[in-house]
Amino acid sequence: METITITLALFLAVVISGPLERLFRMRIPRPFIQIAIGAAIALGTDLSITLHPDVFFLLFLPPLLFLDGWRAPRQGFERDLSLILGLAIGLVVFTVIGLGIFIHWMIPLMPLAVAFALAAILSPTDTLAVSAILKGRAVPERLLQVLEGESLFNDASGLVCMQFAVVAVMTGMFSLRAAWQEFLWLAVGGFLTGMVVTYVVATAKNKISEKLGEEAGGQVLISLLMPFGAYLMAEQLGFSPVLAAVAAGLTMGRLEQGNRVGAVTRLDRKVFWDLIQFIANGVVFVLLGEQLPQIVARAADLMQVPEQHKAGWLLLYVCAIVCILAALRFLWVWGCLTAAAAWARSRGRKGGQTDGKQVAAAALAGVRGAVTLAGILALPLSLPDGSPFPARDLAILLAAGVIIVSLAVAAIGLPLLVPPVQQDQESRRARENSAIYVEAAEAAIRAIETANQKMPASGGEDAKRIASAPVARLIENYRNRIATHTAPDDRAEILLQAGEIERRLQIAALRAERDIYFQAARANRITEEEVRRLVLALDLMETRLLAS
Amino acid sequence: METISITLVLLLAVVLSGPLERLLWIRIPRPFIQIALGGAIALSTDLSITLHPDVFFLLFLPPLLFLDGWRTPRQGLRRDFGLILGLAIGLVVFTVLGLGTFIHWMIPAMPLAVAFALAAIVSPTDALAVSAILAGRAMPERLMHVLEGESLLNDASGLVCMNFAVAAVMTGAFSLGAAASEFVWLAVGGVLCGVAVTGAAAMAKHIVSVRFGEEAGAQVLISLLMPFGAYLAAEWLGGSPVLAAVAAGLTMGRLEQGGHLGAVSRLDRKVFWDMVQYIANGVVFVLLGEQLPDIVARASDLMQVPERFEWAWLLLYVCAIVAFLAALRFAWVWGCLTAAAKWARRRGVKGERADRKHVGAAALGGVRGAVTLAGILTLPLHLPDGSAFPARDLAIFLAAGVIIASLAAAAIGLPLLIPPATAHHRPTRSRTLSAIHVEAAEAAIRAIETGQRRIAEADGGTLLATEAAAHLVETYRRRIAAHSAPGERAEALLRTSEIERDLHVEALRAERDIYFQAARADRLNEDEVRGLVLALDLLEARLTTR
Repeated sequence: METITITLALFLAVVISGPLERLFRMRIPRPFIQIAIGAAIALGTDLSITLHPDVFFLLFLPPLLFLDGWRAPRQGFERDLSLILGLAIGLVVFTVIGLGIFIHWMIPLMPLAVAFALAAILSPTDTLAVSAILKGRAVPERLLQVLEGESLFNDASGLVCMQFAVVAVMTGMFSLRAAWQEFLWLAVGGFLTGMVVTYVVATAKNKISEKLGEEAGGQVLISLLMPFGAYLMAEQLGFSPVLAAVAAGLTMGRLEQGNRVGAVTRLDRKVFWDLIQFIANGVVFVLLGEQLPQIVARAADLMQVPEQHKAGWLLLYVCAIVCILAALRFLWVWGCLTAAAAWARSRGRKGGQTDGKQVAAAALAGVRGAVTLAGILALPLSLPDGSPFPARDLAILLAAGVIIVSLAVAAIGLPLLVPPVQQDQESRRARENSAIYVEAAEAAIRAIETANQKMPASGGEDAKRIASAPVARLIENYRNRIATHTAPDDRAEILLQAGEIERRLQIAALRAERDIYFQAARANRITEEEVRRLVLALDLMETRLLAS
Repeated sequence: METISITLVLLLAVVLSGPLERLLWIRIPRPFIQIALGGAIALSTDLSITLHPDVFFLLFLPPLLFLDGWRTPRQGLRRDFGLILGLAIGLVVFTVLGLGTFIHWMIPAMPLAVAFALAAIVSPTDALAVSAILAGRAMPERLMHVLEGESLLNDASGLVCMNFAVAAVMTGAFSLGAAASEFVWLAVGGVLCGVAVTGAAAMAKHIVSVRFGEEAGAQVLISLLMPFGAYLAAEWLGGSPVLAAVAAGLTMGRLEQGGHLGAVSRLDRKVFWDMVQYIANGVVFVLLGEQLPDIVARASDLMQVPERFEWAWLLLYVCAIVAFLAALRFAWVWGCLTAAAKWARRRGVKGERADRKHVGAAALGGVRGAVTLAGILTLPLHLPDGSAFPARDLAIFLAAGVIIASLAAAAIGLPLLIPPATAHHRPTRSRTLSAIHVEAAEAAIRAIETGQRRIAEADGGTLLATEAAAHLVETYRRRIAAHSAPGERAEALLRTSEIERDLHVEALRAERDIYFQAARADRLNEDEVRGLVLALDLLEARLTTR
């Protein structure tokens, strides 16, 4: 009962955060607002939420990681795989060691292993935040893909490092050699588990769909169960569940391109997962805000400085950590890029120069987000002997502080470093792809002609006569598209502009149509079922026009 | 942790039920398969699910009832409102009195008040189960709407009656006058709560959207929060929460026709609620199956007959109750329809004769479902003095048995009574619908012309705008021609558009193949291919929506 009410309150907070964000003159990033609402819930109501770390981990991480993998750009991978892995694994290890030692030095009351755990969970960057901040800015596409690829993989490596550190805290033992071997074993096993589970499920599903027909609801539900299946299976087998979830997502993305599911299924699945992302990302931050007052209170108790200076010290800690993180990132990215360029030159190819501004942008773009939060909230509450986990609250508080400050720094700093993208870059990209658009249109024309030839078998001459007009119309539309994409540049410009005008007019027309249908429904001239069907068709059209 | 794994297992069972239904030789309705899967889970694994009835009520009822109310055709509700109320309230009271007395007579071990409670909770019907069974059969649309409307409203009356009976068991006192006045208060309070919460939320949301823009994800979440808000508000104020959820749904359906929402939000909301319906309906039946073995075991302990007869007796009880329920329904529906016809004849309107087959179908269509199960599980465990609630396990068993037996009776009986809809029973184009299509197309043309003028004034791209507008207007003119053409010609035009649609779908699929191929060959990046395929999917979904 309690759980349901709390969930509803969290959802409500997520809903409210949207309008609040747009209410303020100054653009405050939404996570801040969600944290504030969460804190208001904690301070203003008597709803108290006890988070069970395991549950939290199992509930939020598999779907978030799966989605990351699913929607990750795979083009960049093959080209820059070593660079991405260098960032996703090398930088994480570098950060864990460097930042861990620094934190332990700065805050001696945090044991070294806990400091390592904190450093590990601070190393993953947030895909969504990174691409949201960089969207519409003139970052080279390649750098953007590298950063996105990094943020996908470092979730896993950061979480795995954190689990090692936590084990070290819990058992008091740590051996580098054993850890290294185990790391490999865990990683490979987890990755394989995720791939195998997804592949087997998808294949079975496709077989069944082919024989028995496909049901959109079932398909969507299967995609929801996949990350949990992979996660739990890997856990059962003793591999890294985190990597299993990521691998499941990557496999899903690959399999999707096999084009085996129907249009409605894919559409429903997209809508459903967008919603999961929207809710999970919001809820995590509201939960953080809700926990914040208690965490602050308990962390403050722990610190051995005079009462009035505590807030100042905390802020100092957070800023110091963010600075070190950015510095480590800058160094590592710079080193990697320079090494890559030198390597390319030594092999006689022209290596790109590393641009200081872009490296700085990459360093600032290391925003921390939901995964860090979910990971840190999953720190165990107590040690095996029953005593509380050392400095848990302080670690959570510092992680929360780093998330907030890194978001703020990126939101302020990046726009200064990287100018917004020029308008014509997009249309240039469209022209680069025009060959593919033309191929698609040609394939469509062929399909129409083939289908048209097959038709008379059932309908006779009459059907052929009736079909001739629509066939001509459809083919003409596709021919127009081919003409648009093969025209010389100045003419293409005009045609694109014409297309844009047609799109705007079409949207206006659809809205006018919809008004009429709703009016007719209110006046009881058509049944609700009919109006629902008609409006659905219009909505699908309008969504399509708005999306392109 | 436990809760999450249980949820995952339940969802998995729902997923499996679909293919299993289509795999089996004989067509078994999906609820049965889900019940069987639930039973298999209970018997083969050591997952034991303790159902808290309160949680169950709060989690499943508000969204399901809200959705029922939202998607119920309100025209049907308004036209036969008297008849529906007669069924939803009259038949429930009739059932409680008749069946309650009958059960007490048949099973003296069950006190009269408990028998009344059991009778009350088996009176609500489940429209979803009925429409699943009747899909593709030639049931008159009007009767279907009456049954749907009935099932929408009788949940509340059944639950309220059960609460009265339980209170009578607990306190030993019952006053008809007090019950009647409380009933009215509950009903009015519940409906008002539902309407007020939905209306206020929609209004606030609309104002916010107009000022700050609308975000599809938030719109969907709001629609999810509405039923729970209405339910909790009514519970807090002492109205009937169940009716509040139904009223919230009905209000939602009404407000939706204001057309204030953006296309993307409405589309996302539809997809999301389809999922909620799919999941919640499935999970409810799997849960029912999961509880069954336990219920049976406990009920058979209770009976005072020799071990080997227990099964037979329990089965006999269930069958007797189902038969009695169907007989009561038949009598009541027959009476109502005959009275309605007489009344109509007396006022000079041509009244339709009550068709015996249809009345039989309506009687069999009284399938019991999730509400009955959830309701019976809310029976308290103890009396105020600490002794066990009398015959609780037996009552739960009988309710579960009635759900299954009524489902089975409907699944077997309805297809025998009602023939499948004939193949050429294609919806003929009604004249009003054509007129509305023409009006819509004309409005679209006007909008295009206005837009064209505005663009010409603003950018000076007169020629481009004129060309684009001409192209669009032509499409709409063709539609007007198709809908205002005389009979034979209209038939041909209709076929033309069907052919065009089929060909277009073929073309879209060919296009999509190319895009995916290009993505696999790394010629397009993920974002691009996702955008392109989404556009194709939206178009195909539109063309295949009928």
